[in-house]
Amino acid sequence: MLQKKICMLGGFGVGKTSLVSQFVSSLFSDTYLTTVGVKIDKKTLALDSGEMTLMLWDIYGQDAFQTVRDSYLRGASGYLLVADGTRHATLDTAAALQHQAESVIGRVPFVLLLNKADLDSEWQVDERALVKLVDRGWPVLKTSAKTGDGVEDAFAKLARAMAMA
Amino acid sequence: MNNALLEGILTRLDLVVLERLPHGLFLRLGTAPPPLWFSHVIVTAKDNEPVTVAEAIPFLEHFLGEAEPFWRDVREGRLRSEPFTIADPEGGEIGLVASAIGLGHRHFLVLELAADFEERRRSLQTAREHVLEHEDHVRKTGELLTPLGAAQKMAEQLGASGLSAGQQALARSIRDELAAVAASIEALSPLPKGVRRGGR
Repeated sequence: MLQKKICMLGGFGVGKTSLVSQFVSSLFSDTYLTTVGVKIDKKTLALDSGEMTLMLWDIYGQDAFQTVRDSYLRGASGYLLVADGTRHATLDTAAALQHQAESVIGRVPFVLLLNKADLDSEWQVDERALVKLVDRGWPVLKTSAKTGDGVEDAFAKLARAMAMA
Repeated sequence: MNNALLEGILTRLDLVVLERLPHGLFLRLGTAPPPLWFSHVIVTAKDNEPVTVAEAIPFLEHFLGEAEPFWRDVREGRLRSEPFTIADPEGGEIGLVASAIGLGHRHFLVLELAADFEERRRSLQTAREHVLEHEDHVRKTGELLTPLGAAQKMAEQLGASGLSAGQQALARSIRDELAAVAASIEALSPLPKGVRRGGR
């Protein structure tokens, strides 16, 4: 069976762990618990081209206290960049991590997820910023780890892109 | 030091020492029962029976990729991993650290509980919660200052318009009052040096 490593990358508190938890176990907790180090989960997806097991590397969030080590990225076939739609600055962190990932593992498939789509009233990321990214060829999806909206689609989209790469 | 004493110490420290064998296999040293967390993830870990740790703990596949050149080139010393987590039987997380150790031509992999894991998590958690609170505070302040700024501008325009002297004085007074309120709000929520407050 095809096995692929994917990394969850993004600033702290954007919902990387919650997305993995929703995707793997259909569970969500409102309590924010910061990730220390790395946690690896796996899930098998059925694609048109056959089954693919995703090794999900949930890496601690990047901020002033911790930066993502290049070695964690090596061997990844793709990555999900996660930003929090209610905190515009997390989009800048995602962009910086995309740059880092591309310099370490080259041009592999990735998808930018704007998480917390359920918090409409607090949304900060404007459409113009998204249009710029889409124009650069970035695949962008809105997700909610809380409601599950877009989560399965996000992982499936990345898996399909990796299968075709 | 005799083996029994050494094993007793390793057990108390919740340490697992594995010796690297050919073909990606590892042999746990000692005959004392391994820590529960180890038995949980590597259920086949019987005494004197080689195991493949990378399958059971995927992070080790990554770490062994760094350990192999270390064992090959350095031979002596220690290479320590970043903390990583495995699931515990109750659905929680256990923080671990792996070390590659070389002693002459023998190579060892040591797995241990990350002693400062919870403390580190608590510190990071607190720091990040404060950052989130600050971000929220700055956002709310910005939401207050935007309409205040618009009202100040309007009062300024009124003050410069063809109103009577008394009305112009009132408009200027309103503008000054609004500026004072805005300054008080700014003082309550100072931004870091070099950062400007602005609408999105």
